[in-house]
Amino acid sequence: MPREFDLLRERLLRAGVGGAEARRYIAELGDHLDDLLTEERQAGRSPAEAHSHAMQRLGDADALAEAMIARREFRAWSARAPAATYLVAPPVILAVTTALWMAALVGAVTWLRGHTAWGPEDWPARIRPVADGAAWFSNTALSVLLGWGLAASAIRARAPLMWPMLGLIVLAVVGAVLQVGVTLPVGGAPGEINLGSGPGGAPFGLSGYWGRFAFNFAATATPYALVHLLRATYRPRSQS
Amino acid sequence: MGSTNPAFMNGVPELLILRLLRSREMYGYEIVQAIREETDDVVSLGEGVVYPLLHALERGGALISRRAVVNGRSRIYYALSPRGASRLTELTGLWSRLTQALQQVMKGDGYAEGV
Repeated sequence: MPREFDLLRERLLRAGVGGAEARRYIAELGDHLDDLLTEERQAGRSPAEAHSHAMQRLGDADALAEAMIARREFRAWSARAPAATYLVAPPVILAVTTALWMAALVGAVTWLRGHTAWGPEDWPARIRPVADGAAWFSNTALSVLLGWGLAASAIRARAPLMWPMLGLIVLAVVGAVLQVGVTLPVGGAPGEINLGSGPGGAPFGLSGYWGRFAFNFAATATPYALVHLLRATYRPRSQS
Repeated sequence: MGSTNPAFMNGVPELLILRLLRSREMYGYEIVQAIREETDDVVSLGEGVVYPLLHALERGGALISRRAVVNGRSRIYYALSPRGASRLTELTGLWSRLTQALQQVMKGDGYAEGV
């Protein structure tokens, strides 16, 4: 694929054209170029002349880019509504995922109650690792995983730094405040899974709201900023 | 390559594409060559810019596409949908009225009725 198409793809993505639309456009341009090259070669031109004529017939870079960029319907949601994409959607996804995770835990415990002969004294020992893991996943890993997803999506979309960074801040705040608590059943008393807010704990001895926020934000924003910086440094440039 | 005046081209590529696809499905390169042949090179586009239009027509429901492998190469074929056929009828009528009105003005027969 000619280098010109790499430049065109970058230009389309940076202008907010959706990734799938840009990929399909570039793929069809590539097929079209192959047909033009075949036609030009059959007309007796040298490979270099054939390439030059084919590229000229295909259209100049500005025309090819503008034809796509001018159509609003091809713009990605992250370009049409960056606030909704990066600020609103991630906390909503975090809340929904947390709720689904809790429902799955309740379902698993209910199933175990009906399908095992564990006595009240057996429960703490048997499910403590699972309960601890579930709480750690909800309170520590989930918001970081979602943050990485947001960052990956922003990098693919070549989004400007501001909105994704604000999104990571919001996600880090919500992740620091939301806390899933798992209380094990002891001595016949039922256990409890609850959702609330609390300072909890985070790795590396960080605790409290600020500690959890700092962990969430550092774990997501640092790799995002580094990749963003690298992409900006090594973006494709024209050969001229 | 024939030159084109973009000011007179508004809506023309859409009409031509819908008309060409009325009889059979085609892929992008075929469509562009067919436009050149059918219009004796009077209408010639920067060939690549046909794809955003094809994608927009497909998104609007006027075209349907399918991927097919022909002679070892994967191609996207476009065909007219029922909605596209209605759009073609509408555009053809509009275009006929417009050209009649323009001819009337060019011949100096007086003012044309609104199109």
